[in-house]
Amino acid sequence: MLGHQKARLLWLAMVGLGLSLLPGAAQAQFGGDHVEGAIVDIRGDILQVRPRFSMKLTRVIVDDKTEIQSPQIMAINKLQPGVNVFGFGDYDAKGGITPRFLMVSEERRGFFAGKIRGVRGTGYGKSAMFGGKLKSVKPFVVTDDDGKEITATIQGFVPVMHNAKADRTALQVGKMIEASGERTADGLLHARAIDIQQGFGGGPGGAGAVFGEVVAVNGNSLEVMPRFGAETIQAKLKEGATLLRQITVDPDTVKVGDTITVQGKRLEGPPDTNAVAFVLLVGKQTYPQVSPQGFFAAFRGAGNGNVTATGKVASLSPFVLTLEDGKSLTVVIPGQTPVVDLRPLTLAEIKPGDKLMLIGSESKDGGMVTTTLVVGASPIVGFGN
Amino acid sequence: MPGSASFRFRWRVCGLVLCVLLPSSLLTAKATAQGVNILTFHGNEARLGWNAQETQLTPSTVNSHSFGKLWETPLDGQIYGSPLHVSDLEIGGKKRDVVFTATENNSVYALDASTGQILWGPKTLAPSLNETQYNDCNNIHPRHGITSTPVIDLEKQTIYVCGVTQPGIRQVYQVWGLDLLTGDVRPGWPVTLKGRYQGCDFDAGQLTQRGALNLINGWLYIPFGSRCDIGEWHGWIMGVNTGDPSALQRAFTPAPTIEGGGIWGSAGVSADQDGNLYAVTGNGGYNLDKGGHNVCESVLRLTPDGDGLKMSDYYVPANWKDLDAADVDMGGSSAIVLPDQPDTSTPHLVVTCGKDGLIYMVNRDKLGQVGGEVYKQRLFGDPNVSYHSNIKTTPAYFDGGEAGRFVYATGNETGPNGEAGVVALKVVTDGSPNGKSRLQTAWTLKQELHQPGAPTVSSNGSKEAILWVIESNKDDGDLGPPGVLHAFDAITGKTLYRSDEDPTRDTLEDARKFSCPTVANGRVFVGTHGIVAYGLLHGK
Repeated sequence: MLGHQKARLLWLAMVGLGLSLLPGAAQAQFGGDHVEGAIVDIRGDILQVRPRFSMKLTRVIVDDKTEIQSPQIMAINKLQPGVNVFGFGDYDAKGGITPRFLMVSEERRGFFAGKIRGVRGTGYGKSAMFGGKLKSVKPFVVTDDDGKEITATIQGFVPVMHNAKADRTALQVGKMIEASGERTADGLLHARAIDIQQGFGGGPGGAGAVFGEVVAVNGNSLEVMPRFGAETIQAKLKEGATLLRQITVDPDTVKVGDTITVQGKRLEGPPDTNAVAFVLLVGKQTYPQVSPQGFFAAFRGAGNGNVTATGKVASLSPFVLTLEDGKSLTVVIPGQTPVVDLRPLTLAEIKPGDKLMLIGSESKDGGMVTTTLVVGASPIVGFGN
Repeated sequence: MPGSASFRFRWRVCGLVLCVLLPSSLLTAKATAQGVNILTFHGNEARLGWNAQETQLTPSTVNSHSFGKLWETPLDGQIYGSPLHVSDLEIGGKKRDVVFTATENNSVYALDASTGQILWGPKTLAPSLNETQYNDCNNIHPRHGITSTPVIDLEKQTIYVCGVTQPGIRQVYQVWGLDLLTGDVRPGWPVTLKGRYQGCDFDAGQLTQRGALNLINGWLYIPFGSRCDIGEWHGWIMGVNTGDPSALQRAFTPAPTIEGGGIWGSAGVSADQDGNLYAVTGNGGYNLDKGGHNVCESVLRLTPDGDGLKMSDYYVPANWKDLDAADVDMGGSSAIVLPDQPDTSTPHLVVTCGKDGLIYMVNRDKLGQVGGEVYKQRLFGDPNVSYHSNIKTTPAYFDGGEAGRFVYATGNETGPNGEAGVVALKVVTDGSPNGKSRLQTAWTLKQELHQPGAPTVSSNGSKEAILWVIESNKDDGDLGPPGVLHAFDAITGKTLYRSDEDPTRDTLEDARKFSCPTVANGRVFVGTHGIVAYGLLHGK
């Protein structure tokens, strides 16, 4: 049996594969309009969502009628006959299928909204998808929408993702979602349904960033109120954790010849020629990064194509760095880009009321094991709550 | 200075003129012996949106047979602001009516109002920003330069514009004063906006400057909202002394310690005859009752006070928390300052609207603080849903004499009584002993308009009034089919003209949201990716 982590990775890979094999399928099956992306801000009933593969923000309205589903991994032997099943796997010469992962839902929406008929090849190798109403687990039999029974061969561990109903507290900054609904006159998406996609965001239990305010310091543990949260979290500093203070620098003090580090995103064009900055750092240093699912989850490509480059300022407008290897990097600087200096900090200097960013992972007791802490971090250089 | 002699004098002269022409009120557009000048958004500092000197365009002459597109001049960028108009200006050795406009390419133009010929321009003042530089906020598309309506000081022969540029790492908003006759930048300009209020610094890189500039007693007032509410941002009103551009600027934010307080309305701030400013602020918190300085979802009265602006009164709807939570800004609309109303205990009124679909009337002598409005009424939208984006435009006013005094509002979605597109309301007095003012629906379209802009009225005194509205047909990402210019009988609501009746001849291509036409001397000017002029076709 695969370990949990390997199973999760496989599941993520399969979800990714499945979605990549279905360009437009989800949109077609959801009906109306939809957006898939990372929540970057929440204000009351409005989610600001940065769509995958796009930098154009979409605002999503949530109300009491919005159906929210959050996927939960469950064991295959816990499935009850009657649930709707949708799966990806490998087909065999006889039209049978060996699923690699399954999605189940009590309701027919999302992937389950369209008609499900037989085993359908995806056109990539021997991969195929299938679905229907579960008739039995052993043997694994589903009945498709034409009434045809499909028997699947279950081999080894097959992750099962159950779309469980969730409430609005499940919608958090950093989560990847797929929202479907109708556009308002001014282009917002009034969501009828929101599916939280654990596979692409900083899901629960994983690594991530938290922005918040220090409530108390207890030894090597901090009590922190998250920026958008209602309850404090306990953040225990891991031994050797990096502690930094972010100092905001007046952009007008940056001169030609200064050494600057750019962290940002590559733009299309020749490699290392153009980039858009998320943050400018004075000197040669690196802004602490979370995993691709966290810090950069909100940006195009969810972590791919990020750039960190140090060089001397050759020009301010346009902003051009001469890198250590002699190449030039032209950097677009959005208005929100902070220019910062990062300086070492001791635990004794951290006080209640300090605003900070914590990077770490969830501990067994539900708190946070913090590996990096930045006092004074601006939320704009990393989304998260 | 507030209440200065020159300012009061101008209003008094206006009053004298109107005592003759009209039963009450003040003139919206400024008439000269030769014609009408529209020197600022909606015609005057009060933002009434009423040109009472229009003799050619009347309900009997405006129809699809006799009225249509006269000319169209493409320019170098998108136009969101309203065109301005000066009559009988001598440029190029010839006296003529001139239209002024500014584009998102940070360019300013002067065009001949009768032919569309470019008289000067493009005067490109600075590089504009692309969408990435603009924090990928696509509320305005595709370039970002001058979004707001400029303002003209005819006495100084100067047009003032505000645009964004990025000369280095820092983005800045700059204000230019240009010679009206040549477009040359006046000495002492541009100035870069900078300021601080209650420990909060003005940060241009987080801001959008959509609201029109207003010129009050020699000071330019320039409002700001956010760029898609991203980042740490605060709404602002900045003030620049045109008599001494290098002087310390006035700066005020309604949200110094929180994000929010955007002043979005396309009319910017309005002003009364004493020089007080009225600003409508958007989403954010309120903590004045706890000794704080945040006052969002509000109508503010700001009084110039030395080098600064002092908040002298405010109104906040009682449900401000709900409005904030649901992104239902008050500040999508600007306030208009009504002329003194007769036969009421509340003669001094300010009217504004909200994204919640309501029209609000407050007493400018005593704004009412939390929940103290004089009157409010839902015009658009379903009251049973939490999210609204119903009114994001500034209302207009018209005094029709015996026909009544009207306020017009445009918005999205149908209201509870079938109101749609445009609602005309009469300003009346309720039957109570103290005789408070209220509004009474006069007519409505009963047909939705898609993202209409602010309405404006033309009339010949109190007669022959036409309500003009641009239906942008664009969503918040500025995508959608061509816009439509509508003309309605302002008294009855009867449709007189719509530009899509003859799309081959009259199409209004890329009109954008918030777009408000300018009506002067028999012509209607609309900003698109250039200027489009409509008028009587026999004179074409």
